[in-house]
Amino acid sequence: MSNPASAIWEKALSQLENDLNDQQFHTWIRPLQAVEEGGTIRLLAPSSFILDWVQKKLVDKIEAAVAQSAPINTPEIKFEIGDYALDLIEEPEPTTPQPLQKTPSKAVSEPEAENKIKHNLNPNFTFDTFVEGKANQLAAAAARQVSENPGSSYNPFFIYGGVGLGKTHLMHAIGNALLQKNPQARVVYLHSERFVADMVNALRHNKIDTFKRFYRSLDALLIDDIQFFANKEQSQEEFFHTFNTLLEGNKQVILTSDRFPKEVDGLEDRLKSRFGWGLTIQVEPPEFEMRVAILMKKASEFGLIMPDEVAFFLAKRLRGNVRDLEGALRRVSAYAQFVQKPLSVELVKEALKDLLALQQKMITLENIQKTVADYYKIRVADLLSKRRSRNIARPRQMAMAIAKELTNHSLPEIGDAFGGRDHTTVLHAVRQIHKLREEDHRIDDDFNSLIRIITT
Amino acid sequence: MFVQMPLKIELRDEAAFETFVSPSEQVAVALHHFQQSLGQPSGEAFYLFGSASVGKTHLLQAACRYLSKQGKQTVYFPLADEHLPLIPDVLIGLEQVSLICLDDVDRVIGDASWELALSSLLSKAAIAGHQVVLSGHQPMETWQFATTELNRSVLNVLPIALTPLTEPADLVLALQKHAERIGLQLPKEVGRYLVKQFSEDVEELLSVLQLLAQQSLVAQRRLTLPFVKQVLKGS
Repeated sequence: MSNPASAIWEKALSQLENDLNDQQFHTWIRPLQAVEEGGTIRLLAPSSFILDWVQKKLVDKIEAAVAQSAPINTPEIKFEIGDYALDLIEEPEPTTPQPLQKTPSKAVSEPEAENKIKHNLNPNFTFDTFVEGKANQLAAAAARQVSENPGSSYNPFFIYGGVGLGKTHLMHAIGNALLQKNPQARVVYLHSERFVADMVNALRHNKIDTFKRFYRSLDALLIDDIQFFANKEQSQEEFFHTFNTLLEGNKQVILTSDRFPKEVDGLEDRLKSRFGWGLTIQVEPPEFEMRVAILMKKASEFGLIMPDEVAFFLAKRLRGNVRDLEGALRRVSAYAQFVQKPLSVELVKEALKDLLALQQKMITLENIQKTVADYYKIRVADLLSKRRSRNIARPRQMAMAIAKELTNHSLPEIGDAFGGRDHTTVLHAVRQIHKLREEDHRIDDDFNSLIRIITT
Repeated sequence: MFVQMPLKIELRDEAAFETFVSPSEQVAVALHHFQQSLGQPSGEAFYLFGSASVGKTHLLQAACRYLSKQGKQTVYFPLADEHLPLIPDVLIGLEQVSLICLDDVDRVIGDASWELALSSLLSKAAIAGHQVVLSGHQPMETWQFATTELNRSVLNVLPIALTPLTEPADLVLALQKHAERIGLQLPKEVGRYLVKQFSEDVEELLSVLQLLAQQSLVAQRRLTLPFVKQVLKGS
């Protein structure tokens, strides 16, 4: 709908753009919608916060700009909270009464009403918004196949991995794709705790048959974080039967967990065994390039212009998971909006200062030594000792390489912290670990795991 | 299928965005963004923090009222209220509600069960596209976490620092807005008089306004300066 701002207001806007700085103009003046009514211009502010500030600080400038735009018959200015579109709805134009429709298609028939189930799917989680990289491309490809051929070979489809790595996103993406193909499909997403809570309520209200009927009649059941079923025997029993009914009827079951199904403690063996019937796939933490790609994609979704150096800075500092990256970006985006400045590394440092300070507190040479020693089950004293056996020397090299990667300490400083070693020893350790990471994936896994432990 | 146990917690009548006065330009921009994002399926979470009487409860309840008016389900829990039997389990299933407001959340920081429940709520609400608004006294970076889970989850929470109103004109405006909300007109000169006579604490000023409003109704008089002086002299 077009805004009927009068020619006077358009002129006044140009004047105000000259009078005020960019920030003031875009934050306070641009959001105002103007509606001309006779000798009055009503300026509608989208919220009381805008209205108050404009009335407190900018009234004189606005009135002067309007007076300059219309020196004769200067309109009166009124400030209100409102929206032009809603303004129109409040005063509908009289319309010719329509004859009553008798077509039954308009009414919701009973089976349709019955089919109106709550999917609990987030429409933003689709395959299009999922960023793929080495760490998750297999899971994404399998998820696509499941969405194209539900209930067939990949059933159940089991995705596991750490928090914030995209398991839930993939699950929702499958659900959304199934609904797109068939809007009538009975697809339900829920967290395992919710399944348990629903069951408890059904038992309490004598509705367990309705509960069973509902879950067993679905076309696709998506249950998140099944590790929360642990030690809940009755829920596991009910889920076991629901699971069997759905699988027998070639209905799709999709599950996620934070670990490999066989490693979930407190789950019955028969459930663990059935979880392995279909396809079990892992999602891993995103590597640097993927983190950059995620940031770029999310930034464009938020309507932000993200310079490369900002994406590199964030991706280097935040190594945890996708959720952390998105959270940080959301904060940065809001901060940029609040202070009306473009994204820059400086702005990111300011917006995330608490987080970065916390991280900085965690990333000390002592902490790196302790974490690496714990990881390899040796003592910190061993790392600092003169011992050169492989089981001590390799962790020591690893700790030095990580110290170089995560801190700003110089090579001599790192050498000093490791029992007074020479800087060339540190340099050798860094090169050695770099070489080994390329040759041996176990060393690379160790390096990445340690970085994650230390930085999150 | 899921039944949420309802708790009878009343929202204050005057708690609305329209009666809140921003202390600074930055807070006004932040709160505008906050209000605009309510009801959007963004799954954003906010943390409004500041000392007593800066309007945290007011804004949380205003957010609930704002969305409730749009027919959306909201919930408000004052975690510092000792009369309420609030336990961490009360957060289970809340992610199904469009807006979840938890007041004085820093009271439960350091308690592992609460932290895990809160962390779980934050991630599930984000998945559901629903919003969580927290309030507290201290900035999040000073929180002494008992769990790494919540420490990580709060990264997704946008902090908004609130400061007290100090300008007399802002305090007068706050009084005028509250008076208008209950159908009274408070002339500027009366507002200035009250601010001068009493403290700069909004809560205290509002209590005085409440007293004046009652007397104005009883006496069927407007809130003129002579009337206000007469009432305050007698009380």
